[in-house]
Amino acid sequence: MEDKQIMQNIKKIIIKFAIVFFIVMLVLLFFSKTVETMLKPMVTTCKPETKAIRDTYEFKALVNYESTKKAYPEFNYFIEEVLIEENQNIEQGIPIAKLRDIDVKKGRNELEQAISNIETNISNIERSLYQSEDQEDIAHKEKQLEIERKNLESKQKELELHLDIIDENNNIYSPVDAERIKRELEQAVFALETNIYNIEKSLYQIETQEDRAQKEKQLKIERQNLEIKQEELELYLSIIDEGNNLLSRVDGMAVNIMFADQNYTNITTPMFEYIDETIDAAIIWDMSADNRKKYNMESELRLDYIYYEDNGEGSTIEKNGIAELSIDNIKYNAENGKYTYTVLLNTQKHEAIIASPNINATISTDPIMLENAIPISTIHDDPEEDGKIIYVVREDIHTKELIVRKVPIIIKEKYGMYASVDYSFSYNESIVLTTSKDLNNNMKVRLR
Amino acid sequence: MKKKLRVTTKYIIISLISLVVLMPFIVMITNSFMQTQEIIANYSTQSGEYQKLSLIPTQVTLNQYYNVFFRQSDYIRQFWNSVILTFPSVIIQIIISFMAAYALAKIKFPGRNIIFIIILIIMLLPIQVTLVPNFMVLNLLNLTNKQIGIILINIFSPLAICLLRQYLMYIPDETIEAAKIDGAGQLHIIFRIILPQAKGGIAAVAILSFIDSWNMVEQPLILLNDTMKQPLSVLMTSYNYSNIGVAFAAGVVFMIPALIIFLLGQEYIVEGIKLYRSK
Repeated sequence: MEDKQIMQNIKKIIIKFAIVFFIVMLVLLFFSKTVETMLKPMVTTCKPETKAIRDTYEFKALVNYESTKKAYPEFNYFIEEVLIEENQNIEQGIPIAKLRDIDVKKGRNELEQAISNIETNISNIERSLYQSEDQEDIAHKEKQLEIERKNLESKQKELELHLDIIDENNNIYSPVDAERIKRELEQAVFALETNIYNIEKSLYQIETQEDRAQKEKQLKIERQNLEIKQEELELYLSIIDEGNNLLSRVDGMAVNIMFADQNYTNITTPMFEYIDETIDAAIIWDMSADNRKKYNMESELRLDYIYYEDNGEGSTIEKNGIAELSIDNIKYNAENGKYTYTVLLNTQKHEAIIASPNINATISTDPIMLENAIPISTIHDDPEEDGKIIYVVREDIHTKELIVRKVPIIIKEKYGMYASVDYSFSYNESIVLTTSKDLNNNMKVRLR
Repeated sequence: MKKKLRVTTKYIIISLISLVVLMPFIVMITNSFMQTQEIIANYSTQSGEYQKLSLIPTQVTLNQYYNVFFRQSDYIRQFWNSVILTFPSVIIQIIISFMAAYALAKIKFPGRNIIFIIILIIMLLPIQVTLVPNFMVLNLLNLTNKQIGIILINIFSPLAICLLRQYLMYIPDETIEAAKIDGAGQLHIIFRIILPQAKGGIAAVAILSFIDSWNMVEQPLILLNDTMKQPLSVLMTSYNYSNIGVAFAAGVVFMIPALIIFLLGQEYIVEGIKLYRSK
């Protein structure tokens, strides 16, 4: 009887357990799917496709100049204030610096005084070199002197001829006649020399030839000096305006300001560096040998730059510009083992690019067609075998759940971020691109 | 002393046999509380043999049960598929088997014994033999890949008919005759007189039928292509080395309904089988 009671109690417990068990299983039937879904790794997928792929390489571009020009001051100045900035376009005649009034006047006076001194010197030299006769007399005497010199030359030749005849054949003249003719000719020559001396004496002061040459040389120098100083004065007056501003004598873009406020500048120190249309600017960068294989002369270079535009209200607004340029030169640099790429810029055509404070450059390869292309990030090393795998998601035809499958693949070609793989993808398969958890074969997943 | 030694020896032998029989269950239950890593370490094969058989977990965990209940909702869904396939099958099978058994045991009609022999022959056929004809019939009826097809196949059980027939044979014919004299009809006799007396046999048949249906693999595997409709017994066969830990926990949960049914009706099973054998 007691055993029967125990059995009854056990049965009751079993029945209670069975009821609880089935209730729990029933609850789980409704909630386990939800919980399971929540716990499934979230994946993003992609499909293999035929892709036209371009490789791109981005870098911050810096504008280099083949050479720059330096603007030197023509005179020594004390700069009160610099009026130009870097990357400012400068034209001839625009003020580049403010000068002190006292310095400007002093400089002008010095030049004028120097010119005056030179002029005095020239006048003195000329006076000492020539007599004070009128020009007509001098011309007449010079003509007379020329005639007399020709006569003298003629007589000297006649005398030489006569002497030769006497020496070779004395039978033409009698010794008396020969002697007489000789004496007459010598007297004529002497007379002509005397005349020439007198004319020359009347034309020039009596001085040695050396002194005269010296004075002529000095005169020439002084005249040259005068010319220089006059040009200097003219220049001085043309490059400083009435407001004591120093005016530019060059056209171009100032790329480096080298003088400063409240400082002296002299003719040996440049005021600023500038470029003009005669200067070659370029964007130059280095690339590895691997990249050299990808990017060639035909590759496109895109520049994203900033430029400033007048908004019509007296201020400027920043704008973004895009330019597409081609590569002009690629050469190997043995020092660093890299390849140096050069894109030439025209200082007029690409003025905005050159002036941009920030240039982002993107170089792109020619498009390459990849069949069956998938992102490289989807390819993993096979931990079990020495190979490559991808995770493929496929919908189960019965459960409609997404199941992950590990698929070994062979990479046929790799380019940039994509690889062409040797695998026949089914239409309902997609490749796991990203996952929230590590994946295993036959794992259920959900799409993000 | 001699008798005591004999009894002791008998108990030792029985205990050893029980241990061998129960060992799979013990392994399954204890291993279901182990960490996955521990299970994999224990059962990784070396030259085709398991490294060791471990019964005591180094660290007890419910992780495998967590995986069964929350990480693999298939298990719960297919548990209920098993319930859906098993309970109607058992109930309808009991009704039909009881009717057939009553007819064979208590109604005298020509060819009764031939029919019984045919049923016996069918009972002797292995289930694999009838799979293809069953499939063809269900295909004709357009019932393949439908759970009702499996239920239809299961509702006819020669074993259940034989068991119940034997059970009903023990009910005296006089009881039926007396009821007839009192004016009772066939249905009244069946439900009011025979059924209460055949309760033990019906329970035994129900339990055996439940266990049979609960564990069926071949029929749903062949007749149900849709894995969403397959019972848990089929899913249990798909566990492999990589998720052996889950298989242990799933096995324990899978065993519970059958165990409950067995514990509730174990006395009827013993009684039913005893009666069948004694005849």
